[in-house]
Amino acid sequence: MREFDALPCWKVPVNRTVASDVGSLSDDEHPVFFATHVELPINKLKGGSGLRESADVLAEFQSELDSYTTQNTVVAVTGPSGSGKSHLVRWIQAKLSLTERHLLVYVPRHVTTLRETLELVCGQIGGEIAAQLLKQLKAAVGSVSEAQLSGQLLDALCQVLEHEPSTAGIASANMILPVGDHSRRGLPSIMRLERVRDHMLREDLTMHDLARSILGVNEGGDQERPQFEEYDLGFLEMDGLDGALDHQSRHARKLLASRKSLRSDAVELINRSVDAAVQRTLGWRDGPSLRTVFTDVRKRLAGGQLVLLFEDLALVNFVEGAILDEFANHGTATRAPLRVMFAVTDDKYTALAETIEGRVTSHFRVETLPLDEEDAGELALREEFIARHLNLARVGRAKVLEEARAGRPLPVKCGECRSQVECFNGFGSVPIDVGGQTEEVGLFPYNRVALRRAFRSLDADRRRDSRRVTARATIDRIIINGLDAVHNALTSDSMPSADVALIVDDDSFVQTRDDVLAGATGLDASMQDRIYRTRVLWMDESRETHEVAKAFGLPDMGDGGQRRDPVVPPVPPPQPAVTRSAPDFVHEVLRWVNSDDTDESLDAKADEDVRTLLVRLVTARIDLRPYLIAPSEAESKRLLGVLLGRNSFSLGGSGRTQESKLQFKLQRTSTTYRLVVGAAWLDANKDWDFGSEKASWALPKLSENWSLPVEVESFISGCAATIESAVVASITEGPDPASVADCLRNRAAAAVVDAPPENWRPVVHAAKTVCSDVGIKNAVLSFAGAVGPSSKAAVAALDVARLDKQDNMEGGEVRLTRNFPHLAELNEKFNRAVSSALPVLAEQTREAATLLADNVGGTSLQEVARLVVSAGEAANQAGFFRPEESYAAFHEACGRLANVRVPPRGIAGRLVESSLDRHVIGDAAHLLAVAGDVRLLIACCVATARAGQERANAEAGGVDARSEEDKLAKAGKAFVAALRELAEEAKR
Amino acid sequence: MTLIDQAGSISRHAESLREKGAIVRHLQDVEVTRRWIEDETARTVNAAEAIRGLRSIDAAPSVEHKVFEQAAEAVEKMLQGERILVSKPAGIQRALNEVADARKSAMKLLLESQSVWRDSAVVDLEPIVSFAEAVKHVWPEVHTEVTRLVFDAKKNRNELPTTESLSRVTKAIERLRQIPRELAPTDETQRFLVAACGSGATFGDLTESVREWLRDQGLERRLRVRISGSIDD
Repeated sequence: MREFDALPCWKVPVNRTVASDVGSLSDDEHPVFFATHVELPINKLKGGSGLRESADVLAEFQSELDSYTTQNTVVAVTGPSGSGKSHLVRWIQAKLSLTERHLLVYVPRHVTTLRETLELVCGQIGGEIAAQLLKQLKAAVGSVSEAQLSGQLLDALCQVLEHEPSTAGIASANMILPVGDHSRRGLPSIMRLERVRDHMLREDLTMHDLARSILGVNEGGDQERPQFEEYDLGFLEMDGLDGALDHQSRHARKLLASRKSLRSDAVELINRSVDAAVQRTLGWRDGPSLRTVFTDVRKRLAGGQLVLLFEDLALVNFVEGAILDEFANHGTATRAPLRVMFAVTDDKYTALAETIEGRVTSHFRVETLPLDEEDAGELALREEFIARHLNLARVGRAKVLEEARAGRPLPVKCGECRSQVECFNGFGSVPIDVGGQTEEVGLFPYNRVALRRAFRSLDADRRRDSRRVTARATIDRIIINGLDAVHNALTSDSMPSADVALIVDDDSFVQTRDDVLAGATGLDASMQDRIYRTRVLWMDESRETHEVAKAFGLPDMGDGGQRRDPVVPPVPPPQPAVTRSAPDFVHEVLRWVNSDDTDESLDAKADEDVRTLLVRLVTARIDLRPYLIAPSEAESKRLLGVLLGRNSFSLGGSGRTQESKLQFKLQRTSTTYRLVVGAAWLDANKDWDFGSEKASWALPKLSENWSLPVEVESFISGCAATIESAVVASITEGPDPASVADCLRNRAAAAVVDAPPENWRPVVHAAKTVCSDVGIKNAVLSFAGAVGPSSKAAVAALDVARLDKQDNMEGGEVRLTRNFPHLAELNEKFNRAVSSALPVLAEQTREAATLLADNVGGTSLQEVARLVVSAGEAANQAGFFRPEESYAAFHEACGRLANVRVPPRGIAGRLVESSLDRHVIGDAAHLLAVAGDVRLLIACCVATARAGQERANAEAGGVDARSEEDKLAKAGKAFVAALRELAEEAKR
Repeated sequence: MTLIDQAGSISRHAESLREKGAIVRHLQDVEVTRRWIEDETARTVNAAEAIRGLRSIDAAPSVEHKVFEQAAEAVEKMLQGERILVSKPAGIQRALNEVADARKSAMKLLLESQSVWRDSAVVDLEPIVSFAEAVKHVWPEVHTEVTRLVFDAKKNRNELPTTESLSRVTKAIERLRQIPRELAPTDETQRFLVAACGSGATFGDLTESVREWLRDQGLERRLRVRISGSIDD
């Protein structure tokens, strides 16, 4: 039973009392708003510089209101979303002193639709023109449905694109909107097609959102008006549109469908046309507009001032242009000047900068909520911010309003609480100013530790989204969600629950769960969880105080709120001389070991880091030299790599299990954490001097850290010994790898011959692979002298290695294959090649010997070659050598045979697989080469002899020499006669 | 059959073919020689014919004849020996070359003689050509015939003459010389005709014999009288 009064001391849901969005507060709820007001840091960026307070901003603006200058005053308040910009504008509005000279137009955040904005603005301005505008607005949108308005907007959008598009700076505008005879075509022509129209008016697309933003109610926050995006142009992909389009629009559609850059420009053109389209829809082109309303009121107010306050300018959709234009029209004798203050996000302000930079006279920036705990001022500001909201939650909105209406100061609930002293002692308190009086407000259910963790947690989450901690985010998380969660936990006796921890837990702790829970053993798991959370999140891993235990309904541990005494070690506890913290993976392992979620895995990177660390330490510890295994040789390293790798270590089941790897499992316990801390320490510092000034980092808080060296050293040495045994066992259980490698190299060397026969080439290839293989050499170098431990030790190691002993009995090849797969593969490939080729080689050799005996007989090869080449040359000269194209090869073969060594006899019988002999294989190759040449000669001679016979037959009797000579004699006689006749004629 | 047997067979075939090849090559030489002799015979016959032709127009040159007689004897002697042309190709070639050189010299002389004769004949034809040119407007057929005959007299002047070719030339020249006389029989009528067909004849040219010739030819009606230049002249 708790001794605190009436816990929890607030009502849920908290968001009924505390509002994170100031825009949600109505004008008559100023007291609630004031109840939580704190001075946030404000930077003046234009019109001066330096830090300001809200009061300074107010004073500056008030002085402008009090002045009679006709120049406009435009004050911009910027900052990140949720930083408190709107809060500041509202606070200014509440504090301003206005007279009859001033007409205030105030647009709060909750007014976001065009309809609401115009109604509000025109309502505050008044006058006949404003009334006409409202009437016109009502006629345009008063009774239309969203669907109807969407259609009207689409028509207006097409008209704007056709007749008055804003194309400045868009180079492709004429491609998207080609100029036709009377209007622009392209995009608007496509948008007017019925199918496209149906598409654009779909409820999930922007045109519909646009209609809703004019008619409906937006949901607050820094939302801006709907913007068209490329997905709105999905109709460009529709089939069958071109038939209904003119050629210019058809061309534009094709370009838009094929070029992304053009689609982006098209979206920009549409977005630029939206304001004009809205104004067309509302009939502002012909009738009164916001511009004419402003002109009218400023004329009526001549001599006074029109005060415009916008809690968020970005939400003034569709009339933003008209308002910004008005900022540029300064006052005159007949026109009242403007006194404007508007809030807008940094991003929006940057986007508007080109338009309004020259019109803004002062620029204030509301900074994010400070998080620097080292700065006392900032810490106090943050605590006051929390305390004011806690007090508001406790007091309740109705009470705050009631007291304000009664003219009484803001009540502080803690002042009425009977447990105030005990609560303040247990959780702390913060002084706040209430109506000029300082009152203490308790931080319950938080304390400063819990708040620090909650802010860190919030900051980490926001940073993940590239955002900062803002006032709104703080209220949402720590006040609204936090108090709701604590309320549930307190009322269900589960404080602090897992839900509460989600808000407060910043994932930082330095001790294992077992160490933190020291003294709390024997309790059920649920209670242990609660105690653990309390000690970590509220007590920085110390034992909870009486007050906290009572408030949270935890058992009193009986130490009177004193911190747990450290366990006295047998050696003096080291005093860390350095402040750097342990590697990240150490913290991750601790977080994992301490996690409530039993299914949670260790962070992947940390898991990888830890396993890498352990492999490194164990590898360094392994010593194979006593077994005469050369540890620096590549094959030794390979074998070690087969047995030991990152996957050898498994943290709570992490890592992929590999059959060949030895397995060392580390359970999710504090022992594992201690091992990781110790291993990391040893790796970083190379010794066990925890107190060394040269230590890389301070040892995390551990119980009995004096025993850490023994735990770590035993583990690493044990792993190393197991792996050493497994290495030795791998070598000695099957054929000696060094002998196998040596034998293989010798056989391979014998198989390599110059100019091998065709079928022997695979053997030569395999042999060359063996001879050039580094692994073979390494196997010899690594294990040539390897000796094993006793067979018992080897078998034990094999058990550890999870090798199937049944397989081991099947023979050396199996074992060789398993332990030295590369060597076994080379051996097997080479032997298979030899087995396949040798019988064929022997048969070919026998055939070659027979061929030579039959064709050469008792004559020497040289003599045969001489005769044959002579006959071949004669045939070639006579033109009947056949085959003609083989003459060169024939001649070369004869040349070789004329100088060849006579192959020895009986070669085939000496080709034996078990004892490859280089000389025998060489002789066989030589014999086959000689036989090949003889075969060529035989083929050529047979063909040539046949051709010679045929030629002889064809030319026999074909020549008649006498006939030719007779013809010659006859011709000679005629010649003689002619000569004589000539001589006779000449003589006459 | 062993490899050596195959080689022997091949060698025998090759030897046989080598012998046959030699005979074939001999006969090829015989044929070439015969063709050469036949060509040379034809040219020699032409030269004899040219001498005959030129003699018919008294334009024959003096040609050395002994060299041809000696060549005839040499060739005749060579033909008497068996295969003499083949066995002594250098000798026959030399003899044939001497014959060819003599024949070429003779032909050169013959061509020169023909050229000299033709040039002199063509020069004699110039007045006839001028006459035909003068009257071609009145007697175009005369001009055409003269032009054709002059071409006949001049053509083939660089070819070795023959009796026939020289006869054609002499006939053309003879015909050309007849044409002016056939048209105008006297020198007087010819002068009048050339003047009347040109810039005009004078009254003095119209002699009695001319007027008679005009009447005989039925040409009076085709005559017109015209006074040229100023009357004061």
